[in-house]
Amino acid sequence: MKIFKWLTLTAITLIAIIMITPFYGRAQISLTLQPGFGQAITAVNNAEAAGAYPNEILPLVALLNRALDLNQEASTLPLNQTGEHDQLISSANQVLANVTNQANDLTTRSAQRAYLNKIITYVSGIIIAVLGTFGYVVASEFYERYRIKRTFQMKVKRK
Amino acid sequence: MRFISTQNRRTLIAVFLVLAIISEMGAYVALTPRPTEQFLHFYVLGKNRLAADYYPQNKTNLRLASNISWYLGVTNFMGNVQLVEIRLKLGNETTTPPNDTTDTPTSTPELVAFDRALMDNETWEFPFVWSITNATATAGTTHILTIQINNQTYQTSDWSALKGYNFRLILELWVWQRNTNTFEFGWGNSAERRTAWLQLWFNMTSIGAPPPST
Repeated sequence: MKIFKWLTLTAITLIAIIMITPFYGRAQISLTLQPGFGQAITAVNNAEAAGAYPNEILPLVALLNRALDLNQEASTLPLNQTGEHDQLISSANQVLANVTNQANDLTTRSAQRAYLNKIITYVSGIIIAVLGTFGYVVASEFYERYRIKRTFQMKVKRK
Repeated sequence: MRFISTQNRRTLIAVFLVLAIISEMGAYVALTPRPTEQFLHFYVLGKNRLAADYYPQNKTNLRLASNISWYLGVTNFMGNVQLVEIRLKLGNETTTPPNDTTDTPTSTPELVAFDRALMDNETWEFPFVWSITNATATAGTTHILTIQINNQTYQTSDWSALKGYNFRLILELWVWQRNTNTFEFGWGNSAERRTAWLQLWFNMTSIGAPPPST
């Protein structure tokens, strides 16, 4: 019975020490969020590499910062508010999952668009070459006609 | 249809090929992104957003509760979205600073960190207002006990300096690494690595509230 009393006292003291311990304020990314952040950042970087435009990336970055804010909010909560902490971390995870999904969709769309743009650009090169050749033919024709005209306009003078 | 002689046909093919090669080269150049130097720009400015006036009346000897206003900023020139973190560490004269050669951060634990996802070419700048709110002087050593940063009070652990000289605030830039899923000090790969950090010195030789401003 005495041991139980001492154990209870020790536990209460430990809890009190933890509660009184000053807040060191480290806004570290929660361990549970790290995989989510990793996937989200990778997905966003992939979308950029696939050719997504900055105005398409901007909402994703805003969501990433929203997740960071939620993480920071969770990290500043007192230790006894575990329920709220878990809720914030869960919300941050949802935001990150949303970012990953949107970024993956954007990657697919951007890759298709970039592929189409590439084909159009290279085909344009061929079209320009064809038009240039046609222009050369027309110019040559005009030049030839001009030369013929000049030849028949020549006057032979006896010296 | 006009007859094209063999010689003319050859000329036309040559003209077409030359034009096609030139235009395809132009297309390739237009589609290939130009290589640019990838780096992050990390800075701290004084209260007027200039690299000056870091301390009140330019006096680095601080007193209790004197507010110091700075602006911390990071600009992303890495060519893609980066997740960056500014870590604030506390030091004194004997603290080993970060090492640019070995790319190692200072060993003291960080007090607070600020995170942000940055787009390419985006600048993140935010006010960093701080003041020493509690300190003691015992046996010739000044101990700073609490520091207030952006209206949040942080308790420090073992931040002291002999006679109150040469306290330091060390700010390190950490960048999220995709391969390790963690923040790492600096950026780049093992072959070419860069780091960015800043430190600002101050003294606290006399503990006392600032004189009332007139």
